[in-house]
Amino acid sequence: MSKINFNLLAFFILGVTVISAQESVKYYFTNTGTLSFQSVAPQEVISATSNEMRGLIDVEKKTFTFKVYIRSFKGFNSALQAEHFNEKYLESDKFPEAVFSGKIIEDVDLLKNGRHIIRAKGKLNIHGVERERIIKSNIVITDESVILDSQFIVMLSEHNIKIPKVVHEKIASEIAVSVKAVLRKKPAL
Amino acid sequence: MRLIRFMTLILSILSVLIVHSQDPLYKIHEFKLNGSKTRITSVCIDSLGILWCGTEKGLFSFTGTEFIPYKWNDSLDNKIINTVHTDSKGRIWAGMKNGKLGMLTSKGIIWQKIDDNFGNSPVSDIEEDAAGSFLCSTEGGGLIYFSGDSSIRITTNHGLSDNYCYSILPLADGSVLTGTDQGINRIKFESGKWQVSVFSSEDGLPDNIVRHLSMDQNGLIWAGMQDKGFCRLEYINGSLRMAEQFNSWSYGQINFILPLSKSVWIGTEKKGIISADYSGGFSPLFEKDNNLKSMRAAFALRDHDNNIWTISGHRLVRTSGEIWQKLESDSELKIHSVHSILADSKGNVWFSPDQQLYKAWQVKPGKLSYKKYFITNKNKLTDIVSLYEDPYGMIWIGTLGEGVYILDPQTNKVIKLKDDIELNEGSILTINGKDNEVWIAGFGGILKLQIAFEKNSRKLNITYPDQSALETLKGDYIYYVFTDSKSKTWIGTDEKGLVQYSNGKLRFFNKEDGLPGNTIVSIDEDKNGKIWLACIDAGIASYDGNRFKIYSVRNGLSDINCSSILCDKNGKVIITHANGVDIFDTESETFQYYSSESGMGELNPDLNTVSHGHDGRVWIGTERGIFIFNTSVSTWKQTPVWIKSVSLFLQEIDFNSLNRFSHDQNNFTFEFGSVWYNDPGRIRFSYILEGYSEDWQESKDESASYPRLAPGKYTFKVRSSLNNHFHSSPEASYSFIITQPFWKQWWFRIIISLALALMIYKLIRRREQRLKREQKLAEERLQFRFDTLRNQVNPHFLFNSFNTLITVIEKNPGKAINYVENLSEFFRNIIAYKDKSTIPLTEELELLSNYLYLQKSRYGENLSLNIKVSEDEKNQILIPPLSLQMLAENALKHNAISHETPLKLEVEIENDFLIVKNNMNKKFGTEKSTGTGLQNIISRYKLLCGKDVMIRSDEKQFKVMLPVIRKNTV
Repeated sequence: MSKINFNLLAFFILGVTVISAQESVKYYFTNTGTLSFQSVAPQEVISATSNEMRGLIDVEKKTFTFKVYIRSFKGFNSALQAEHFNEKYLESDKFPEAVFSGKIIEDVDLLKNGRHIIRAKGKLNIHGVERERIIKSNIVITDESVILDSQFIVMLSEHNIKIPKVVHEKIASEIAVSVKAVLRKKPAL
Repeated sequence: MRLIRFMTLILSILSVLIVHSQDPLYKIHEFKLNGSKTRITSVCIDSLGILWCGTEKGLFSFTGTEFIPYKWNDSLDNKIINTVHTDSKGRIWAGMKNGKLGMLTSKGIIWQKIDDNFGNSPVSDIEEDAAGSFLCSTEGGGLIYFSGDSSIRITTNHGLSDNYCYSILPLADGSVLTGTDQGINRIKFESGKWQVSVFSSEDGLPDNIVRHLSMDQNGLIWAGMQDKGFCRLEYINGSLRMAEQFNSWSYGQINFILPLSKSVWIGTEKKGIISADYSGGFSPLFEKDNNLKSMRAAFALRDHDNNIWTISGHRLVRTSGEIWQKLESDSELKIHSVHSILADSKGNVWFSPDQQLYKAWQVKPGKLSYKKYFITNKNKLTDIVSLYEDPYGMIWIGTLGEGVYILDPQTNKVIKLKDDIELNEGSILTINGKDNEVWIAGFGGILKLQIAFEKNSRKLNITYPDQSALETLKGDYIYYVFTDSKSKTWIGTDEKGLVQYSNGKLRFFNKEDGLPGNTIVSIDEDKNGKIWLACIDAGIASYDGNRFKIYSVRNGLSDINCSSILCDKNGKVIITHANGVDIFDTESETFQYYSSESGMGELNPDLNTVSHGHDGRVWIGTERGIFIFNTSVSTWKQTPVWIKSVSLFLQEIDFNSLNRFSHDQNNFTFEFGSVWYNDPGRIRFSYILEGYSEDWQESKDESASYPRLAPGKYTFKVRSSLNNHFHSSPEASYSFIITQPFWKQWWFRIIISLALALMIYKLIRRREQRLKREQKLAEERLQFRFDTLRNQVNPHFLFNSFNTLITVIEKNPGKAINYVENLSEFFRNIIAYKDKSTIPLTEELELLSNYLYLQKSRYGENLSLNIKVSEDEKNQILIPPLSLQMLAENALKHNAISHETPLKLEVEIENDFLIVKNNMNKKFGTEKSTGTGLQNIISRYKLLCGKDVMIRSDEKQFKVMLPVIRKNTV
């Protein structure tokens, strides 16, 4: 008798927990998002990727924040190139992170399954310089997660990233960026 | 009757449906600060008509040629302006990136107080609501309402859907709309509360990001969105309702929407400016200019002349808005060297560039579609130089050397008019008419035709009435024929002046009748029935039925060489020249000009390549393409004028408060300004300094100097004009007074005059006194002389002297001679000194001793004289002659002299007095004495030196103190 009751109770508690867990989803979160960029210049093509992008989406407020450590980019053509990237161009010791935070414009229910194209409007901070950007993204909402896919251009001049004239042929002034991430549901922190 | 034969010719039509756009004219001004391109964020116009630019580096006013900074001290970061606005009182406001809002004054910026912690959100728009309250929208900080020193911020806490607001649209009912990132919000303060309602995608808004809101002239609200183009909304009873959506927008993010009278300009982020019409069609503008076609069109503004200004980065673009448009050639459509043009009654425009004929019509705003026609005869292509639409819609085509063709636009059939050989082989410069009358003229003379139209068969019957009246014009060159509203036909000839044909009679006008020139190339009639004509080389004139009124360069015409003249329905007369177009306003009798500064230089139009469309637009064909003038949109304004600064000795003064100056503040320089963005170089000023000269000076300079102004009242007046006609121009003036130097002031003069008078009076008095004194002295002397003389001739004295002489002769005969010598010496001295006012003491003492010697002879030792005066003093001191003698005589007269009572006379100097004293022994029964002797001495001394003679006497001594008169004091 008590065993059954105990089991029932446990089940009940579990069920309630599960249900309430479902109802209290506040955030979508990842820290393994992929951010890659590519520079296509007449004499060289450079690309690198980070798999450590962190992202957080607030379901209720429809705001988001995405961060990536500059030092987490890998895949340069040479170690020297990686060093230049960090020390000279992005000055990652001064500005360790690139951040994009803002809000989602479209009226989308982030808890309902579906596919949407949304605009993420917010401030993109690279190399210490902040710019207002509206970035279109594809999102797919499933039972467990939000799958995010987005491509956009970053103009180096907009973020005060100076390319010396001698390397103009090797580094493009516009960088193509691609973001792919799977953010999982997370209850209230 | 002549035989009429028609020939149907081969006509080929190419239906080429290439759409082509009409762009406004424009001029790009680049804004560079210290050589580097600086971004302009927004512009506004102040009450004078000057354009102000808010930029990333502060505020600048634009004169048409340069950017002038507004001085204000602040760090560079604090000078980034996001938006500028002119309020209902003409004051300029600047909304800053750092969130501040400031109002410009002549003494600097006054920052509005925002007392909350939000303060840093950049200001995006500034407006006044219907009640006159100021508010601004911010990017991230909602809306802020201002009133005096207090402010209130409306945010999501009040119900705003998003704090990121882009623009404000105030509505007539006192509410405001604002476009935000999450739809349109309507805000109103009602019943003590802020009421906020939202219109978003839930209500049908295609895109929640609403970047700009504008209201058109019909009261519809246009919303420009980030992603889905624009839509139109209605505002009824306090709520919004979607009226129209346009789903095919492919031009990206909208930055602004500017509704104009016939179209709406929409500025986009990456695709330049798109022109939309009110029916919803749209197409891009400026496709021909690489700078403008994909520009980031950030902002646009309509100025007081209806120019539209827009900005893109560092480029300030002035466009002719809807006033002028230009039809340009492209690969398929060649529009150079347009030889004739016609806007027909159906809204088509016909024009003929080299050897071709096009018919064009509008399909979309700014987009024309066209058809090309070939008219050939014997395989010879020819230029078409004149076009005419008769009342039946048939298009008459006059060619250069191939006669006249008539085209039926409905059937596209062409017939050739075959008649008068001369005319047909000649060049048909003009075809015109009224009702059933058609006139044809050119190098071969002139022909009058009668037409009749059969509707069903679409057949045009042409007859030739009696041409005998026109015999005199046979063979003449005729440039233009025009039939006016009173059915009089006017003919413009080459060198034969103006001819009027009425009721079969010709009447000639030439220079003697008042025409400016004898070659008339174009004629038209205005809405008041006046006939206007243009000469090829002598300007234009109007004719009111009696007199010709000439307008030439002196009256403001830009060029006396004219190619055509046309009168629109609004009282404006359009005149084309080789280098531009003049627009004359018949009401104000002033000209406006469009030439190279507006993109209309080097037009070189053919004669009469102008046509007035039924929609009010005027089509002008030129060497460079077709220009379209929208007369209903063009405004009429006098150029404003203002005094920029007043400087005294080249230092600026505050002339708003100072207007009284002293006489040495007399070097004035006045700086003044005006603005006319269409052609800044045309501005002329006329000024006068009333009180200095009687004549107005005309000049192009912007300053006038007056170096040495005399004291007086002055008024400086200045006017500006585009065409040397200042009588009706607005005027700016400044009055001031230069006061007289104090020595010229009336009060000073009076004082001086009085002082002078007083001085003169005193001088005269003094002289009078001196004269009187001298006269008195002379009198006294005379009197004394007389007295002395009288005394000396006194018988008693003589008697005594002679008695003494007898005694001396008896006692001492030897001495008698001495005695007589002394006596005569004495009398001689009296005579010698009689005229002198003073003699040296030395001489007087001698005289005295003389006298005493004479007396001693009588009195012996009982008379003694003691002189205690040094030699120097004797020489230095002056004394009236015979004074000591007189005193001695007195002493002898009044004292008994005997052995017991000797008389001792002493003369000495004490305290600047010559003292003569004697011991007293008063005689009884003194001789008769009038006392005048002593009195005389006293008077003489007084007159001579103003000092008193003192007399001290007691029982023992009689002392007379004579003031010492030294030699150098007289």
